[in-house]
Amino acid sequence: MGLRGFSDLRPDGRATLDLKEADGREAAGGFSLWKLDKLMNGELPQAEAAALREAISRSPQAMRYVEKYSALHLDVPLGKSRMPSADGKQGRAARMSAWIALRRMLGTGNGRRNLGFALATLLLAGTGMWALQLRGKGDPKAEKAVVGFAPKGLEDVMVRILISGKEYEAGSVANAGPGETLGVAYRSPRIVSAQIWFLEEGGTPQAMSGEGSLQWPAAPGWRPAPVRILLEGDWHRQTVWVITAFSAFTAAEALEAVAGKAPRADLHAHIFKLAQ
Amino acid sequence: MPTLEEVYRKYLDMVFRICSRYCQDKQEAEDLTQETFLRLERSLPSFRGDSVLGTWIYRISTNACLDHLRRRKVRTRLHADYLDSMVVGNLNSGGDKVLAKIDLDRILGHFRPIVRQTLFLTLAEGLSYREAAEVLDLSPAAVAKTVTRFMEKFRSKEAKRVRFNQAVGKACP
Repeated sequence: MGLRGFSDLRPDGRATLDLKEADGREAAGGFSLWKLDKLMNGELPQAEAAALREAISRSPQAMRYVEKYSALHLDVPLGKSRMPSADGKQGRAARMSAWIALRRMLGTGNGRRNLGFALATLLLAGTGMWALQLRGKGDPKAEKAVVGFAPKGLEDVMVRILISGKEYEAGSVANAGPGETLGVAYRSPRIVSAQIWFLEEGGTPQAMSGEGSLQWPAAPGWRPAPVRILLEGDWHRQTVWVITAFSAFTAAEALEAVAGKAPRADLHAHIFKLAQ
Repeated sequence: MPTLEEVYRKYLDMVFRICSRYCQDKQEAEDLTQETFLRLERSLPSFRGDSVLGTWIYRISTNACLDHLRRRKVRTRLHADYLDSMVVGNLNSGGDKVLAKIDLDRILGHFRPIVRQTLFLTLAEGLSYREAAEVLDLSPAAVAKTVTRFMEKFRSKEAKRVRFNQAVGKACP
């Protein structure tokens, strides 16, 4: 695959192409997945299909691929919305199908638009915005509503850190250096209190996020926390803890959690290692 | 002009297979398949019949996969372990050790969409230049040039990285 490209350029920079060579992927050990797709969909001319089958029979990996993917079958009628799951959360596909259905009912494309539907959509959008506003204020009613849509199994806070646009799971080692910015993303069924602590080599744990707990709204899906920390100083490795609980907690309690002796059941220390 | 229902009946399994190559589980592949058909529905009126319908559907499906991979990359680190072994095999089938280091992260980088699509089809999907040209409605020479330039840049960056690491190794043994 790779070397093929280099021989295609003439010294004047214009490409000349040996198509015979370019089409010889099978001989080089690679397979055009498009060709395999066409073969499985019965769209390849007979002679080409026979040649490809022969090539596949010589490659155990390609044989496994064709066996696996030939058996794949999706039996979902067009436009059928997937039923909401037990926790009331619809999948993306269901929302897509609902959108297709809504577009059809609105009759987009032929100019006939149903005024009733437009009004209903406006009403729904207004209700949604009202709910969002309540959620932002930390209203208990809104929090309850969010709990109603929380994914099944999300009972605790989940935390990831963000460095240079990449997310790292708790327990992982992140590549970071002085001058970079540390962000946090989280999921939580309820309003969450958080503190961020760090430990540089040979030092003692210190609060990164200042005194007191930060308050973050409930988030059924991953959401960036409103906090950005500039990593300063001269260090090679450091440990970062994001400590979370469903109510405010003190620095002493946070330190206990850092030491692995959380004084409360809802207090969790999510640990991350940073290394240059 | 084929209707969406006809396209759906004939190509549902093919689109699902393409999506499955780049998804972690069946649910994710189903969602991506639905999203692809939503795109197909939007684009079907503009299908002029210049290319074969299957080719056009393949282009839209692989584009949807490409966007899906880019979204995933932004959200979390892109791991190769859920990619299909044939995709990984195609990516690793470079002519030498340096080119075998090309991974999806590199292809999904900051390129113009047409460059990204070209690299994705040739390097991950394993299409020949002629096939990629047919899918993307370009000339085979243009495809060859794009891939070659990318490889030259990649090779030069790798060489620089190796030189830098060697220099650092000497300075801080």
